Amino acid sequence: MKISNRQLFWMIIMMEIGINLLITMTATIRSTKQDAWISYILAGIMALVITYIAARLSSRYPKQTLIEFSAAILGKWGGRLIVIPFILQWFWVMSLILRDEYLFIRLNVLYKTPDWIVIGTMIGVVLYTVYHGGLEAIGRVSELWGPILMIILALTFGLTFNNLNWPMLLPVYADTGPATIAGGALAPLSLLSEAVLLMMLFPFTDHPGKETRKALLLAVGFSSVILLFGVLWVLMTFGPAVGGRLQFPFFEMVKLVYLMEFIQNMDIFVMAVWLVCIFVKLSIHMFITSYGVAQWIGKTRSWKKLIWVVAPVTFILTMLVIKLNPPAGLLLKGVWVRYVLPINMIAIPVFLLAVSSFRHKRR
Amino acid sequence: MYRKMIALFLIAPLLLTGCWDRQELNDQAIVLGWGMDLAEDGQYLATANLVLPLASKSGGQQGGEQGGRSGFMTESAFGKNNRDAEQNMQRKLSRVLFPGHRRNIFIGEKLAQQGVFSILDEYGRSPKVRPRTNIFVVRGGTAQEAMSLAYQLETNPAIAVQKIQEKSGAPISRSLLDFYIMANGNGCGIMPALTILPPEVKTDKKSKNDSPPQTTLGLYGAAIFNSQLKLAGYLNYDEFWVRLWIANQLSARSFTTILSSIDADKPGGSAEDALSGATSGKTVTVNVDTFKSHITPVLDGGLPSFRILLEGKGYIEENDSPLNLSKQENVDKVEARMNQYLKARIEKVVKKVQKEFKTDIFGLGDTIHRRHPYRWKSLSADWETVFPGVELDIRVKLNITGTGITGESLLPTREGGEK
Repeated sequence: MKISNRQLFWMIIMMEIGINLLITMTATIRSTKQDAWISYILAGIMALVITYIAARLSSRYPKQTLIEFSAAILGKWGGRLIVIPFILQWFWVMSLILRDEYLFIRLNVLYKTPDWIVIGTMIGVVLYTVYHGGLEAIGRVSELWGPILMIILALTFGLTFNNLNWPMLLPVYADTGPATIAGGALAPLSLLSEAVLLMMLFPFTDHPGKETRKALLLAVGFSSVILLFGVLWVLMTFGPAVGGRLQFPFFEMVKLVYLMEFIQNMDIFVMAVWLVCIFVKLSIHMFITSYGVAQWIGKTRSWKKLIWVVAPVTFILTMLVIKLNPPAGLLLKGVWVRYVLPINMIAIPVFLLAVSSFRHKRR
Repeated sequence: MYRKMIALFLIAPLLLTGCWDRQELNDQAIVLGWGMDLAEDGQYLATANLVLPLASKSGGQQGGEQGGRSGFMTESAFGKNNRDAEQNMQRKLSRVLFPGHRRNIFIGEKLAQQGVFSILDEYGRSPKVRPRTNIFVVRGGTAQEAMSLAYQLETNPAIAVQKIQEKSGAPISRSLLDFYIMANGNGCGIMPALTILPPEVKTDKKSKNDSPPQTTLGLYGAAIFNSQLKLAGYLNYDEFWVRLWIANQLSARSFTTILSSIDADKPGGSAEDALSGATSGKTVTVNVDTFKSHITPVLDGGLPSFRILLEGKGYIEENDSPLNLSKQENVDKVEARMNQYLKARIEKVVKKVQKEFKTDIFGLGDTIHRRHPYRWKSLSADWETVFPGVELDIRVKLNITGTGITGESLLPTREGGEK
């Protein structure tokens, strides 16, 4: 299983953009109003730093995944213990993305279709891809669909340009403040920083090293720029008040496309590529979860068998999330931003990097 | 394994045919327009404009009638709100109401006066409806009256008002969205207003095939809502463009003014001479197609005031004065006269809004908020009481770029014009 740096680049882009464009905007715009774009710039810069730290750490162990090198750094048990939050995070992410996908689809297209069909079909496709194609298939799908995603986004930005109203961005900074803007950056940052799962993908690239790091940073940077455009467009289309209340402002903005009578209903294209993004994100998570758990229990070779465990567990977890229906704000703010961001994305990589370089020096 | 998987995937579509959301076209009643009126007992009366499936097939024949059938039908029901009324309406309908094409919403005048807060939520909530929606107030009538009226050019009156709106020079099909945005910003709102227009002069139908003008639906202007989202008043067809121009949203409008006889009598002279007060004379029409507005808030102590510069570009469409338009100085005269006329007109409308409606529909408060955010913090609280007394310095700068396919009129010069 080998992927090229370019495939990795597109994988990260698809993973970051799809979900981020859809779900983080509302929360950020609600708190930071017309200054949400500053939060997004901040989030992009921070995400680059976080990605760089994780990539740096991985470069020290170019042939090993997170599960392996954490054991190499902290010893067998320490290493196993410290990756538990990651394994929990991956399961959690999968069930949440699936729930969001289901909610979105139910709201917009399939009003009555039962939840298990929507989720089950998606898990089925993901399972098939990961089982038969592994990481290579995911890489190729991303390489193929990434540019299509870009074209459709470019079209979206272009065709909604006539709806933009520049003064909606004013006044800059006066209504908010540094604390509010930094707070607003947390939600997009927490999703952009998901790129730290590169620690699981790094050893699978052709020549893990400097070029891989570059591809990763480029991907995160590029995603941040697209998201920045997205939030600017939403702000200038709806203004901060309406934009902060719509559940999926970006999607509503696409629905507004109406040019020369016949260019309209663009939303269906956006929904299609969005679903591919979700598919890529789920596949990556499914792969690293199965592979990671296999390495964790020490049976790397039989990782494919573990998919048959991971997929049903994800299905059950998702159904649980749907049935219990915890508020979305709690999940994003209460769990993801409060625990996952500081622990999984910042603390653990920094800690591992510190210990690793400390030991290296002593040696 | 591989074959099994393929087999599974082939069988799966047979089982998963998506029956849950199956909704045949034959089972849908397509809603093109939706009206809300206030009934006597505080309930709402909803009216739906539905496409008649058979009629829409055979193209638009004259009068929106095919073999004596009109191309649309209306259905109505009482209810506590939009959805409740829709459910009550459904019991009379053999097909499921499908709001995916509901692009036009009519509000009866009585409901608008009582306030639209209580019914406007659904239009922004339903995921089945597109955000590009028109919302109209029916001046001097109920939504149902307006929606029942057959429209001659189109098979469906809902399509007709949508197209009329598109030609009005206002932003196309976004009055609902703009209403939401505006109500959140300034606290007031504005909607296009419709009215039922009887023919100016009644002409009898003498034979079966005659088609004299009939009573029809038309644009009245704009309905203004105050911060309680209650109807404060209307701007008529000669006034509503003022708001659009100041708010930088106007896209097309012709203006006709009288050129004083003095201007016309003395064809030479400078442009300033044209500014002698004219009450009678000959008319000139300028079609303006590019509009720009620059609002500058002036805050030096005391009350805020505003400098408003309105620019436009257009060409002369009609010239009934004896001015020879092949000469630049005469075009300048028209320009100067037009600026003077527009300034007076705009000032009158602005005064009317300030004095009668007392709502900042021009978004002047927003410009203070955007340019002087820190001052706005102290001003915003009682902006509603400050706005009516605010001083406005309005300047109009029209740029005439052409005179049509002739300079000098093709008519021979008779009445005091240049020889």
